[in-house]
Amino acid sequence: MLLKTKLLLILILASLDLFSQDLYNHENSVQFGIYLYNSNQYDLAVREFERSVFLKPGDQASYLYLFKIYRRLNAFDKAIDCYSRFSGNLRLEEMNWEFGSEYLKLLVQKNKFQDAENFANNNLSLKDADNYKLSTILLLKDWKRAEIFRRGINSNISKLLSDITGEGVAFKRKSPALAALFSAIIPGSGKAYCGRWKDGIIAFIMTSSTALISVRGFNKNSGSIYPWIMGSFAVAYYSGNIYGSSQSAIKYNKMQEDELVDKTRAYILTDN
Amino acid sequence: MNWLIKHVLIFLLITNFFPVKYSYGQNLNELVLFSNVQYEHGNFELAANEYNRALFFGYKFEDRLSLKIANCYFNLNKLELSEQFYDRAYFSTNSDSIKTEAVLGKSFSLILGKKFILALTELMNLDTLSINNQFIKLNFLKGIAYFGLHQDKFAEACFFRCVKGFTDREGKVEIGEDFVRIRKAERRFNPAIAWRLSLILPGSGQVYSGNYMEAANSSLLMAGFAYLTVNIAIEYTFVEALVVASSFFQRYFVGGANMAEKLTLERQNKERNNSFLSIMKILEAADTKNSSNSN
Repeated sequence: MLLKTKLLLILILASLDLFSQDLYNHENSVQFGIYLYNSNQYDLAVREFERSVFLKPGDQASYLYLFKIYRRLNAFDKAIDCYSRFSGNLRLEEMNWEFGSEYLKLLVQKNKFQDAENFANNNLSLKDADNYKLSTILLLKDWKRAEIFRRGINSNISKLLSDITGEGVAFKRKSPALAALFSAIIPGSGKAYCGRWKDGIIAFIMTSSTALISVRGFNKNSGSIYPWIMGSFAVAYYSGNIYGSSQSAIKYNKMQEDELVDKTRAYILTDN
Repeated sequence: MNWLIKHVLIFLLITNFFPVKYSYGQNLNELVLFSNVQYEHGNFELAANEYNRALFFGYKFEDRLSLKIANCYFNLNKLELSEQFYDRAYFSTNSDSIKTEAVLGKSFSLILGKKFILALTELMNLDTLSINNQFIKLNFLKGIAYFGLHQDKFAEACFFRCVKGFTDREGKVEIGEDFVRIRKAERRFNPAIAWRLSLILPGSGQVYSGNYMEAANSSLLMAGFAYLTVNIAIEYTFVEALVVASSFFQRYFVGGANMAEKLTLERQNKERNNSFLSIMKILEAADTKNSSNSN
């Protein structure tokens, strides 16, 4: 009995030694890969996790790290390939929540907001799904729909997302048509409507002074070329200013809304 | 038989008493040797990978390995990672020489990333008395950082100190001449003067900066507007001409002056860069000569 126990002990201790010698086995590769991932050495971490999934096909944790790394490296195709190798298919609605949240981030990173919304709506296992759904609506700048969605759900919604929704709804868009109309009535007033007062004043002076001189020129001496030159300047400034005012309104709206989109992006892409 | 089993058991118990990492010992030494060879052959990514592995599995010299990894990333131009590992080397060592190398390496990375103030902050922390063997490198890096910050007097002093460190002290005169050229270029291509000149005579600022096509463009445009303004003043009234001219002035006259200022600054920087490259060549030649002399 004692002899058997001793032999068993020898077997266990010897096997411990043999096991510990291999730096490249599956377990060590995973541990080392995680260290590389945590120290932001993504290019090197890829090798370790690729080895790890080769040694142990179906190792979900390693595939998930690979997926995260490819997402951080902004390698969309490689991330998709990684998931299809893991699952054997590309049925996105069946993607588990860990892969799902990473996939959603990947879509947002690539500015594929509509795809992100479709994914958030169709995937069944996404954790914190309501926040993700609201985020994707916000990314699409559909403030009213975001507000309706926020009111319609009972679960806890992030305060940040709630604030962004509120800001989006409260945001008063500048109408490009109205800006153009203002500038058509009083040159430069469309730019002032968009908050660009200095540009508005300059546009007013340039258009009105050239128009005034042109009119006075025609009254004084219609045979001279100067009224025609100044008239051409006036028409060019006038029509250019109408177009410029509508563009200013578009730019203004884009700038304000992009700020809210950036906040939403930051919310989604932050690792919680 | 029993005697043998007893002794084998004792042996195994003793060897297993040590932590697992001890049993990697042989492997880790081989791994580091392998990484050294890869490093020498310029396979920096592979070297970084295996150094990291040795570090993670408990190789005893964390400071040396961190320094090696930092150098790998430096050579791969992954500056943020190199800075991270230079820091790790610095904080994991008691050796002054490794600390110095880590600071110099990190400063070089920061300089390549154009973070000159941070680089200087790192370099200021070095005790100059204890780094005799790195005296040239220290002053070389300080010189570049000061140069990047346009602190030319300090840069010149540092480059001179570099030359002093070489045995035959060659190159001092040439470096001095390069700094004279830089000062001359600063006086010759003064952006403020270009701006003022353009306001006095449109296009003259561009001529001052050596951009003759831009000068012709600006002066023709402004001459056309001036002609128009004068004619309007003659045909109508002076006030009306002034109102029309003021809007043109805002758009094109001041714009031309700003352009002249920008072009002059670009020209000045071009001259600075040429002189900088010349200084680097002088120091490189002096360093090569110094190394061959000391061998």
